[in-house]
Order: sequence, then structure tokens, then C-alpha cells
Amino acid sequence: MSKEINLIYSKKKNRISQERLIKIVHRIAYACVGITALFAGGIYYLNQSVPLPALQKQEATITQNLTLSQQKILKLMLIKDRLTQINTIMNQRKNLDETIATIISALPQGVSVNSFALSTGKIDITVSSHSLLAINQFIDFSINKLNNKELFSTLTINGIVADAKSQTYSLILEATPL
Amino acid sequence: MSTTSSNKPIPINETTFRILYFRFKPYLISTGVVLICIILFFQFIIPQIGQWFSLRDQVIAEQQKIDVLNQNLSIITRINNATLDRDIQITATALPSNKDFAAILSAVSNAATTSNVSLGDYSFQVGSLSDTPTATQTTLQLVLSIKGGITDVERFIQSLKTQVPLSDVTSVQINSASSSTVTTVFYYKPFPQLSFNSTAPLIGVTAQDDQLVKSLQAFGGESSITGPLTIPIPTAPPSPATAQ
Repeated sequence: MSKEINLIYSKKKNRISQERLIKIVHRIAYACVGITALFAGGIYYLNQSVPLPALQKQEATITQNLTLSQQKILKLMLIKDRLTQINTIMNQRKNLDETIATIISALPQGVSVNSFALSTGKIDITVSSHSLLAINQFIDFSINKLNNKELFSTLTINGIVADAKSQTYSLILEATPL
Repeated sequence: MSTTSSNKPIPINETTFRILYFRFKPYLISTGVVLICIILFFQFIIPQIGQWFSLRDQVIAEQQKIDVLNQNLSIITRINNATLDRDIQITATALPSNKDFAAILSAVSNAATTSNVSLGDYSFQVGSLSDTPTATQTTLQLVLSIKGGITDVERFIQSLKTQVPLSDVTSVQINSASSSTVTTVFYYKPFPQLSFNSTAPLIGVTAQDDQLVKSLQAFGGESSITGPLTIPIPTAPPSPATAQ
């Protein structure tokens, strides 16, 4: 008897638990449908709100306008190319006139240039004067320029020649320009 | 008795399925809905999210392209066609596309006149005329004899620096007070092959460029043009937009 009573109680308890489980499963199903619908709606809205076609249309319009001005664009590109090249040339010019001007300005009174050879890698100067003092002044100038690294990077005195006949002194210098 | 019956294998037949169906009937629809939702989520929603990210990248790229195009359009609209033509003339005279002997001789003559120097003999080192010009920068060497000393040479070089076509003195040889030799190179560069690409960012003429053009104009860039310049500007190349 007592066994049967227990059996009835167990069945009832089991049924209640089953009903709860069904409810839980239903709720999970509703939640899944809701989440899926929410995501689907959200993604649809996001994809619809992407302004790609409008941007592509805008791009086509601007490109068409640019195509009408392509002659101007090509001219501008040509000018830019030429100006870049010209700028490079002007910056890389050796400015030998400035080197010559510096040397001329440093020539003391009574000193004349007998020979002068200037290229990008070498300067050969032969100067002459009746005064050894003036020759010395020019040597001082050259040494100053070398020490201050203003005009020469190396300097060699190849010779000082005295010509008794003409009473002149000649200085032969060899230098490397900066 | 009950232990023996529970150990018996369950027969797989219609009755068993019926029993199972009736037992799990309340769960069937809900479980099916959950499964369908999971399938939809992984098969459609996740790929759509991926596609959205891809679309967003496309929009960013497109926006950047439009910005470049707008900038190009703005630059090109601001520039006057006549100014462009003038600048081309000036720059092409300063840096010719080929060996322009007449312009070189004119520059040398002008430099000699301006610096008050008498010129002697001159010789060009022309090089091969049969070579196909390339887009690299090339030079034409000219050896000039000057009847003058170091000060005359200095004046001449200074004057030649402000002449077009652009040149550079590479060596000076002063033999006496009345005889000097100056080696000069004159620059030229063939025109590059230009192609129109609307999406490539254009760089307009800057203030520095404008200053350089003005300097070249002061050198006589515009006035020294002897004839019409032939500049290889393609008439109607296909644009990327129309090609698409």
C-alpha cells in the first residue's frame, strides 16, 4: 500500500518537472527566434544603409569631369616633371664662378694669375708677383680657407719659383675643392 | 522480475517510434525551431556580418578614392590653361627635350654679350645622333674658347648661369690673361611618356615651383622660344572609369 502511494507521488513529481522542462525549451525556442530575427533585421538594415552605390555613382561623375580635363592634367604632370628635373639641375650646379670669385677677391695687390685650371676635383693655380710678401699673403689666405674648410679640402704647394731675370716670384698651388 | 524485463533490448519498430513520438511530442516543435535558428545563424547571419565588414572596407576605400578625385578636380579647376601653356613653354625651353643647338648658341652668345666677353672657337661633343632618346637626363658638352683672363671667365660663367637652356660649367682652364677655355654641359631630357590616371593624386604647382618658373622666365625662358614646341600629350587615352 505504502509502495503504491509513493509511486503516485513520484509520477506527479515527474510530470511537474516535465512541464517545467517543456516551458524552458519553449522559452529557449522563443529566445532563439528573437535573437535570429534581431540579427537578421540588424544586418539587413546595416547592409541597406551602406552608401556604396551612391559613392560609386559619385566617383563615376567626378572621373568623367576629370576625363574632360585630362589635357590639363597631362600638361600639369609634364610641368611637374620638368620642374623637378630643373630643380635638381640647379641644386647640383657646381658654381665654379663662386670659387673663382673667392680666389680673385683674395688676390693681394700686385699678384696676378699666370695659369688657372679648375674642375670639379682639382684646382691648379699659378700666381706671380714681384713681392714675396704678397705671395705669402696669398698662401696665408689659402691655408685659412683650408683650415676653415671653406674652399679647399686639401692644399699642396708644388713650388715657389724665383725668376731673377724678370724679378718675379711664382707660386704653384694644387688644391681639391670642397 | 522487473530486473529481467529492464535488461531486455528495446525492439526498434513502429510502436517504439510511436511511443517516442508521443513521449517527446511537446519538445519536438521547440527543438526544431532552435535547430533552424542555429542553422540560420551560422549559414546566413554570420556570413552577412562578414559581408558587412567587407562592404565597410569597400566604402572606406571608395571614400578615399573620391577624396583623391575631388582633390584632383579642385587642383585642375584652379589652374588656368593659359598659365599651363606658358609654364610648359618656359620649362621646356629651360630643359629641352633634345639637343637644341640653336638655343645653346643663343645662350652662349647672350652670356658673352652680357658679360662683355669675346668668344673664340667652340666645339660641341655631340655624340651619337642615331641613338633613341631615353627618358633619362642627358647632357651636351660644349668647349668654349674665351679671349680673356680669370675675371672675364668668372663674369661669363655667372652670366651663363642665368641663360636657358640650363647649363653647368664643369671645368675652366686659364692659360694667360687673354686665353681661357671653358667646358660647359647643356642639359636636355626627352619628354616622359605620360598617361592619365584620374585616381593618382595630383600635385599642383607649389609656391616653390612658381618661384622657379618665375626665375626661369627671368632667364629668358619664354622669349627664347623660336618655334612651336611639340609636346607629346596623348589626345584621348582611355580613362580607368570609362575602361571599366
